[in-house]
Amino acid sequence: MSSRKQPKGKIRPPKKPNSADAQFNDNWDRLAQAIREIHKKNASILSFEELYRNAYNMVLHKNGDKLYNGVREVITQHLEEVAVSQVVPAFPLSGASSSQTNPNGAGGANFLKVLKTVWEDHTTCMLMIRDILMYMDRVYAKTANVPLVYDLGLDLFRDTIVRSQNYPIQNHLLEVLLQQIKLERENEIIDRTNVKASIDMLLELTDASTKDTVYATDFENKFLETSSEYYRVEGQMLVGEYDAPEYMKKVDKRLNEEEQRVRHYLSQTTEPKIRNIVEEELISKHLKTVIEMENSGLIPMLRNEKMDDLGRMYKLFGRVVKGHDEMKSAISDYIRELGKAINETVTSNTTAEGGNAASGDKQTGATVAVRWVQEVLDLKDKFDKVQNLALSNDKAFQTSFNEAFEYFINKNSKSPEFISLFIDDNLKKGLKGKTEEEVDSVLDKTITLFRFIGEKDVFERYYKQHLAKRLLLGRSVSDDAERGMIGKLKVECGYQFTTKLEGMFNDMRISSDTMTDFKEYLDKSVLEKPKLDLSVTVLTSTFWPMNLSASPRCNLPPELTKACGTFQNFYLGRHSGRRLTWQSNMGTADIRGSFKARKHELNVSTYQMVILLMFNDKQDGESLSYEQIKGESDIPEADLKRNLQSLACAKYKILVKEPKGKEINPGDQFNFNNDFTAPLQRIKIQTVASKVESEGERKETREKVEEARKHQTEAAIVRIMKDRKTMEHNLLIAEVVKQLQSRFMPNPALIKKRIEALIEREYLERATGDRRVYNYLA
Amino acid sequence: ENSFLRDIRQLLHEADDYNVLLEVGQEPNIETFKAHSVILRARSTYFRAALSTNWAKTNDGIIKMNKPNITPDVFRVILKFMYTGTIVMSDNMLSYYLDILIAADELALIELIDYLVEYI
Repeated sequence: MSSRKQPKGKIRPPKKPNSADAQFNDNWDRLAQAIREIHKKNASILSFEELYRNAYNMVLHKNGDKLYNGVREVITQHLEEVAVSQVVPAFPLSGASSSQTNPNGAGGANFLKVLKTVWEDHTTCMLMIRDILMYMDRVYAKTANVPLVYDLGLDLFRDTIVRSQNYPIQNHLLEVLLQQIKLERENEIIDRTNVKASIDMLLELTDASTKDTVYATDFENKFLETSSEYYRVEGQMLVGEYDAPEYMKKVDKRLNEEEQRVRHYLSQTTEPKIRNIVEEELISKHLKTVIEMENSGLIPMLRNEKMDDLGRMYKLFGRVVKGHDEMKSAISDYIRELGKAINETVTSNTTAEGGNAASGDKQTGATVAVRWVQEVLDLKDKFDKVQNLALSNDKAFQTSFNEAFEYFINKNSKSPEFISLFIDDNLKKGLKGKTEEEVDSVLDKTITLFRFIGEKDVFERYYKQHLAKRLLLGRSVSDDAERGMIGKLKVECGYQFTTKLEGMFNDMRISSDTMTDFKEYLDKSVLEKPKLDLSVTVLTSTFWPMNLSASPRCNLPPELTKACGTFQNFYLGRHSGRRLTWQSNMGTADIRGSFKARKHELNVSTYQMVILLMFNDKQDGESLSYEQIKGESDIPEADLKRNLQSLACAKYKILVKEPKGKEINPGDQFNFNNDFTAPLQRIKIQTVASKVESEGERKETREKVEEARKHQTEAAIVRIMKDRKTMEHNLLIAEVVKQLQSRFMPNPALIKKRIEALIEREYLERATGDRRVYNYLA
Repeated sequence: ENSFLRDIRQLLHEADDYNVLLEVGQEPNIETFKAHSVILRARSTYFRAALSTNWAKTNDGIIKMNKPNITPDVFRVILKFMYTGTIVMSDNMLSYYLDILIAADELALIELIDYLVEYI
C-alpha cells in the first residue's frame, strides 16, 4: 500500500493507516514496556485495565499477529538474558558434576536451585502476561491456530533455556540430575526439592516433534541407562559379598528406594521401567546364584526353616518371570532327595531286621512301616508349614510339592501296605495315649499321603486285611473311629472303593444280632446246651479278605465241634442255601489254666486253645513233640509255628520248649509250664501283631492284586464296549485307563491282553475290514 | 422464582458490603458502581484477572478500578447481567445494543454475547 505513489491533487485520502500505525506503535511500546516491568517484578505500577485494553484494541484492529510476534520477541530476549546472567554463571565448576572435584554435589545442587528460581519466575510472569493478553488468546490465537501465550512461554523456555543452542545448559542439567540421584543411591542426603523442581519443569515442557514431555524425551532414557549400568555393577558386587538373606534384604531395600524416589520426585510413568531394571539386574540375573548359595541359599533356608527368608525370596523372586519356577524346581528336587533318604533308611531297616522277623517280636515290621509313614508325614508337615508361612499357599508350589511327594512315595513299592499299617496302628485299641481328636487329625494327614499312592487297589487289599483283623480280634479302638476312616476313604475314592469295607461292618452288626437270637434259641430249645459259650461271626465271603478255597483245616476239640454243629443247624435253618465255612485261624477263646501258684484266665487264639487243650490229657512233666502237635491238631505249619512261638517264646511262657530258643523247629519238645506266674489274673496271649509282609506273602498279595486287576480291566472293557458297541483300539485303551486310574495305572499291554481274552470268550470281535476296531457282541 | 437468584440480585441493590468501586465512563459521563469482587470474578474471566492479587489496587480493603471505554448505561446492563444471569431488552436499549455487545466481548462474557447474538 505504501509503495503505491499517492496521486497528486488537493484531495488526499486521510492518513488513517499512518495514524493506525502510530496508534499501534504507541500501544505496543507500552505493552512491551509493561512485559519488561513484569519481568523485573514491577507489576504493581501497572494498570491491568489499561494494558488489557491496549492488547484488546490491537487485536480488534487486526494487529493480533504483530502483537503475538512482538510478545514472542520480548519474552525470548528476556530468557536469553536470564540464560546469560543467571543460568550460565551457576554451571557447576570444572569437571561439571564429577563427584571427585565436587564431592557433595553442592555445585550441582546450587545449579538446580538457580534453575528452580528461573523457572518459577518464568511461570509467574507468564501467568501475568496471560492475564493482560487474555483477549489475544481468546480471539487471535484460536483463529490463527497458534499456541496460547502461556504455552508459547513454555516453548520459548524450552528452546531458550533448557535446550539452549548457545549454552550447554541441557548437558549440565541432565548430568546434575543423574549425579544427584547417584549420590542419593550412595546414601548421601540430597535436596530433593531442587531435584523435584527441575523434574517437574521437564514434565511441564513438551517436545514439539514427539508431543511427549521433555522429561520423557531428554531425561528418562538417560536415567534408565545409567540405572541399568549402576545396578549391573552393584548386582555383581552384592552376590560376591553377601549371603542369600543379606542379598535379598539389599535388593528389597533397593526396590523400595527406587519406588520411593519415583514417588517423591520422578514421574509415575518411570516407576514400572526402573522397577524392571532393578528386577532384571538384581534378581533375574542372579536367580540361580542366590538359590544355590552354599550355606545360605534356598536349601539351607529350608533345612533351618528360615520362614522369613523364604518368604522374602518368594516375594522377591515372584517379581521376575523365571523366579518362582526356579524356586519350585529347587524345592521339588530337595523333597525328592529327602524322600529318597527316607525310603533308603526303611529299606536298610527292613533288610537288617529281616533276619529275626520271625521272632514274633512286636518291634519288628509294623514299626518300620509306622516310622516310614511318620517320617513322610513329618516331611509333609514341614513343607505344609513352608507353604503356609513363606509361600502364601501358592497353588503352583503346592502342585509341584505334591508331585515330588507322589514321586518318592510311589518309589517305595511298600507304601500302600505301610500306610495301611500306620492307620492300623492308630486305630488299634489302647496302643497310644492319644485322644480321639488326635487320632482323627493323624488320620486326616494320612489321607493326604493316601492321595499320592498310585496303586490304590493294593492299599485297599491291605486295608481290608488289617481291618478284618481289628474287627475279628476286637482290637478296634471304636466303631466311630473306623467308620470315620472309611468315610474319609469314601470321600477320596467314592463309594465303590468302600462298599466292601462297609459290608464288613454290616457283618459284624448282623452277627451280634444273630448271636442274641442264637442264645434265645438255645434257651427255648430242648437240645442239650453246649458246655461252652460260643460266639460266631458270620462273614460274607465277598467282603472279607479270607481265601475260601484255602480255608485252614484244624481238628477242633469235640465239645467245640458239637457247639459249632448246633449253631450251624440254627443258622442254616434260618438262611437256607447258604454255606458256612469255619475260619478257625481267626478265632479267639477264653480258657482257664490251673498253675501251681494260682489259676489264670487266658485269652488265646483258637489255635492256641487247641494246642493247650492237648496238654489236659498229659501227666505232669509229660511232653509233646512238635510233630505230635502238628499231627493231632492239623494246624497249617506256618500258623502252628507262630502260635507255638506265642505260647513258648514270648512274654508269657505257658509252655516250656526244649531246646530253648526263639525259633520253632521240627523235633522241639513242649511241656506245660506248671510253674508259670504272672501278676495279673487275666492274661492275653498276644497273637503275632500285624507286620510288614514277608517276601513270600508279598508275592502272593501281588499275584492276588494282578488277578483282581485282570477282572477289573475286563469289567471296564465290557462296560465301555456295551455302551459304545464299536470302538477303535487306541480310544478304547484311553477310556479304560481313564476309568481305572483312580485305583491303579493300568499298563496298555495288560489291557490289550484282556481285550484278546474277551475276543476269545466272544464278548468282542474285530471288525471285518479294520482290525484296529472292535465290536461288542451282545 | 429461585430464592438463591433473588438473594444474589438483592446484593446489587443493597451493596453495603461492596469491596469494588468501578469508575465507569469518561468526563462528563462518569458513574461509580459498587460491586462485590467475588461475584465479578466468578462471572467473568476478565474480572477474574483484573481483581486478582496480581493486579488489584486495594485501598482500605476497597479495590478501585476505572473502565473509561464503556458508558455507564452500558455497564449498568452488564453489571445487572452479572448479578442476575438475565438481561431484559427494552426498546430504548436497542439504541445501544451494539455497545453492549462490544463491551460483553471485551469483558469475556461469553454467555451474554451468545444471548445478544441470538436476540437479533
